[in-house]
Amino acid sequence: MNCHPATGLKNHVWRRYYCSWFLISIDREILSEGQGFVTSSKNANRNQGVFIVMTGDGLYQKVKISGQEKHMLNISGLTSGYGPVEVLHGLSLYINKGEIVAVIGPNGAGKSTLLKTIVGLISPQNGSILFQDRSIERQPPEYVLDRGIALVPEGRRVFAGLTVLENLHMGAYLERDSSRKKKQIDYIYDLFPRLEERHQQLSGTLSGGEQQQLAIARALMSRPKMLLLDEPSLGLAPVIVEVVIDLINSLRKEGLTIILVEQNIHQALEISDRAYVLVNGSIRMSGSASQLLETGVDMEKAYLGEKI
Amino acid sequence: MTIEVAVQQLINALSLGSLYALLALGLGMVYSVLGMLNFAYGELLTVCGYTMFLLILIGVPFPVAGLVGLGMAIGVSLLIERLVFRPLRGASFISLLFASFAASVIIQNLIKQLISKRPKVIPVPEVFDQMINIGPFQINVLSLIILLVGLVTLAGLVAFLQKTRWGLAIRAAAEDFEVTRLMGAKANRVIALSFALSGFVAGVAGVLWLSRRGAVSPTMGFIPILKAFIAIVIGGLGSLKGAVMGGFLLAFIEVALMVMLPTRAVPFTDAFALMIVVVILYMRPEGLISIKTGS
Repeated sequence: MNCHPATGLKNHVWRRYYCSWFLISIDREILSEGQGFVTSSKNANRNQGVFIVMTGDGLYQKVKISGQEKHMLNISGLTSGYGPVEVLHGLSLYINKGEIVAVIGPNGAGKSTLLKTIVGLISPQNGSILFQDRSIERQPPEYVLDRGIALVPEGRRVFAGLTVLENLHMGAYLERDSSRKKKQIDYIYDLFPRLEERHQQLSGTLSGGEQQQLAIARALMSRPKMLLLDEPSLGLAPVIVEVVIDLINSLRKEGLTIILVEQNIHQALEISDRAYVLVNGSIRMSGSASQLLETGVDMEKAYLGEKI
Repeated sequence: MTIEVAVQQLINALSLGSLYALLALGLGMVYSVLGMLNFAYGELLTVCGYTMFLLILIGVPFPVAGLVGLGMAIGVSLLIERLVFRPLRGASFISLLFASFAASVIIQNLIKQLISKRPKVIPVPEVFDQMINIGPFQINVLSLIILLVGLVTLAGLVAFLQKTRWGLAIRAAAEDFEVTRLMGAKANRVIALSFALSGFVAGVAGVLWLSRRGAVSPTMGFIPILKAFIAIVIGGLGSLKGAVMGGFLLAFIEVALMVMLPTRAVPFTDAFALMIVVVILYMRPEGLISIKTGS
């Protein structure tokens, strides 16, 4: 949750806050949640504390407000790009724990830039990225990875001249405990028996599908809480795409939170909970995946850049 | 050609080859990680050489001077990274090219101003010039020392690159620097490590090079960096394995030409060697080892 002091109702006791997300509860019963204004005592903590709200019966009531766990990742007003070139223009989105969220959009919309900015390969020009309530914008990749976000880059980008096993070891670069590393490799081999068979083979000699499996496996080696997938189906045969989709589904069942960037709209929407449509560096549409699937026609317009 | 001469020339080629392989590996290490040639690489040998020259002048024994020279090469290499490459991180290829070229010119001129413009002789241990008999073969001691030191250093480096976590990070960075950062390797640390290794290799190669030449001069770094550059181009720019292979191949070509060319053509060895290099690159434009396929 992120609250900013808002104008109006400003006296020495009460202050109004605009919250990008809030959750109001009395005795663990959720009264209301959403985006909007809440009124609170002036000395309350910005993110947590005793707030005064108007309940349904028109009475003011003192409630405890908490919204800390609501969003795992919260991006607001993000402006980012390469050097002087601005690719993302003040973009805001959030991901909840355990969700698969698709970010879809045409080529050059800024999807990869968004992911690279989240993991710290690109430093944003403006805006904030909160991951589990820690601000991670302008932090180097090793910090973000250590917090629990791993990226599977576009085009797989396995280390072609390194063996499969060496690629996995690189994935666990921050892990110093060799027994934990070994355990994780065993877990990966359970998930991807193909990689165990080929563990001594140079990764460059693997097929496209195997390389994609390796790229995902390598990212999983760091035991991430959130996985960012950049176009995992790119350049793969339809049969292999099915395999990758099954894999993403089984990862979700294990509790992994996933951001899926795709050009392939239908496939992405079918396996995700919610989706954002990114066009020209701004969010054009957002909503639940099923909603967006129904409004398919509008989305095509969004892709073509028409105003909706 | 008798079998004795053939074996002696083979030892010569291997000896020169391990020297070239070291030189190429040092230059290639930074290139493959940073995607950028360090033009001041040759000056690391020069710094190593002048350190040895000054120490020997005040009576320090040759091996100790060699070790200190090696240390200086590592130190200066790290200094170049810190003062030239790090402040320009993210700058264009051309800026980096000129910056490292400037570093090279500055070091050369410092030596010219502070010490001398003229070449200076370094007294090399006499044992280097002797020949020893192994069975029917007479072999030059220095060639043997270069071969052994070169191979041991190469083996040590390969073990470091293959077996350690940092070595793995260097090899990964040589393939894809951005993804290596994604894996959690600190960019500055990987780059500094590659410069340290590059300096170490340049230092070892510098001591061996000096033992062959027996003299230092401000521009002595030019030939080594040229040979190293040719070797990494033959081997496939950006590939560490290719750099080593390219070094050996270049040495074999040079020695073979020196043996086979008629006496009057020997001064043109380099020209003929480069012609062969052009032919190799014509047939394999990406070098012996293409980093795209890794094979």
